[in-house]
Amino acid sequence: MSPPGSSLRPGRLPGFFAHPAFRYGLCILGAVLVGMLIFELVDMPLLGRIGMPHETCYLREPRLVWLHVITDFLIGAAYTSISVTLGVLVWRASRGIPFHWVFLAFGLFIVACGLTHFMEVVVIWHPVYWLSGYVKVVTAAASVATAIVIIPLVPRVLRLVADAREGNRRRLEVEQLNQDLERFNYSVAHDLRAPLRGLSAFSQILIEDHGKELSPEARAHLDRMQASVARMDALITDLLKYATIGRQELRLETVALDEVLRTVRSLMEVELLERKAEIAAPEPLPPVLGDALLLQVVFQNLLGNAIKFVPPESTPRVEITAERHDDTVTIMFTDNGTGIPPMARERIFRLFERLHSKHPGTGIGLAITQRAVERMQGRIGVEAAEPGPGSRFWVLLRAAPAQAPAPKSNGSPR
Amino acid sequence: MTKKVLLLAEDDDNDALLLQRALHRADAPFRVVRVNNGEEAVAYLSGQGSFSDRQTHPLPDLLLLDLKMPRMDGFEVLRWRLAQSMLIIPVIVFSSSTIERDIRQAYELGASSYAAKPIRSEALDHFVHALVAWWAGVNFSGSRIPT
Repeated sequence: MSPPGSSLRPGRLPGFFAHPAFRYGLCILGAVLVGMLIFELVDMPLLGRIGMPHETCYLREPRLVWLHVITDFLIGAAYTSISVTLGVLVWRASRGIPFHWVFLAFGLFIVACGLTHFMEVVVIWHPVYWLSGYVKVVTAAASVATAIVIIPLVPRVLRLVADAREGNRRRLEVEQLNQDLERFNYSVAHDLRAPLRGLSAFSQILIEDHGKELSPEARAHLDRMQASVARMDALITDLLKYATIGRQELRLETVALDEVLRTVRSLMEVELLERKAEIAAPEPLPPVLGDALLLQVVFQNLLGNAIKFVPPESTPRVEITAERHDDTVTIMFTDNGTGIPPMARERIFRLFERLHSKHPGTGIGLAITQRAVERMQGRIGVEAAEPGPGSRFWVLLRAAPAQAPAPKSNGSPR
Repeated sequence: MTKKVLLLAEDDDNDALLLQRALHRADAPFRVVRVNNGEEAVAYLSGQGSFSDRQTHPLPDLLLLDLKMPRMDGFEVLRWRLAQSMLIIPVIVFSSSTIERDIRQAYELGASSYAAKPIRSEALDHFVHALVAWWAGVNFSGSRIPT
């Protein structure tokens, strides 16, 4: 037997088996048993004694006796080992195996069979037929009990197998649906735009080449056509964004929201200047656990919205604040826009829902935002700004896990 | 100034017409040869069948490649080109798609450039001017490397 700690890996076995005392005990027990057997086998004047049990059964033939002794011993040892393995398996899987008690019943049944075989060896030298008989009683009880309990199990196991098959079928179905969706996206991206280009370009050519022959009314119609085409193009672009935001790879990590805000500010520079919008984050924003790109989408959409729905005569103002509670962070975007009626506060996050037909938009932006937030296991909602007017969008995200203090050098921001 | 040969692989007649019109209006120094799908593009580039005469069907200086085409799409053309060690023609993918996956895949398959087909004709004119300025002006094509 190998020294403790080398063949058994502590930590991967339940504590009891990993305990050195257990392993030493097992070694000593094994050595004693083997020693006793050898002693018995070698030292005994084999069949030399008149009146040995089985004397006539084994025809006074030493080789036959050996055959029975060795095979019975091996069978008994193997049975014991099998039941120990089953026991460990059930223990380790800790009820992860369906019908785990059946395994234990099997273990008992097998160990009892093993004992029966050991007794066969013993009775060759010692006529302990009563003991042997009692062992057989235990074996019989375990065997009969196991035999009975496994019968009603058959339909249940079959159902389990059927369920597993059904689950597999569903998984394949979902995979198929995913592929279909992928193809659908591809087709939208490639095919839906081609007719639009035709419409747009040829109506434009009509204006350019034949504009003089057209009445002002006809030209106005053509302009409306152009606007419709542009709207359809924006719809396709946003729908594709919505479709891909749920599918792109997610990288959850600690993200500095201040960094996100800085990036989005520069991405929206032109828009912000045009509207003379003021965006303020009075306090530094805390880091969150999220995906940097998805957070950019969230910030861009919410800021875009906040400055869009503001009466033209007033300056759009957005204040970004954050609160940390335990392991969550709530980011709030408070604007001075026209506000959202309480009835519509749920609806606006749905696809194609629009509040204002006068403002340009596809009705997809907030649906994209919600999807991005939900992918980061967060939540989003809106309430009235206080004191108002305007609204306050809130985004609840997981806080960044506490880390060792950051190194002083601003090493590698993303 | 000798005109460069531009092979246009495009299945949509409207798109082909609009591009040719824009090139014509910009007085672009390109002789445009159009094929209708990827299979024809490959046949042209390898000089098979009716394209075997290089007098009438010269090797192009530039390939403008649509992605979604019947029979053989743009990605397959790019894959085929990767296997041709002697073919060093720059390929500009010109597609409707702005999906990141398509763009990345095109570059992975060795596209030289990727442009989205514009909706507005001003944008198309802008594309054509850039095309002329870079690919007929600044850029050296593989077959025209000065010695």
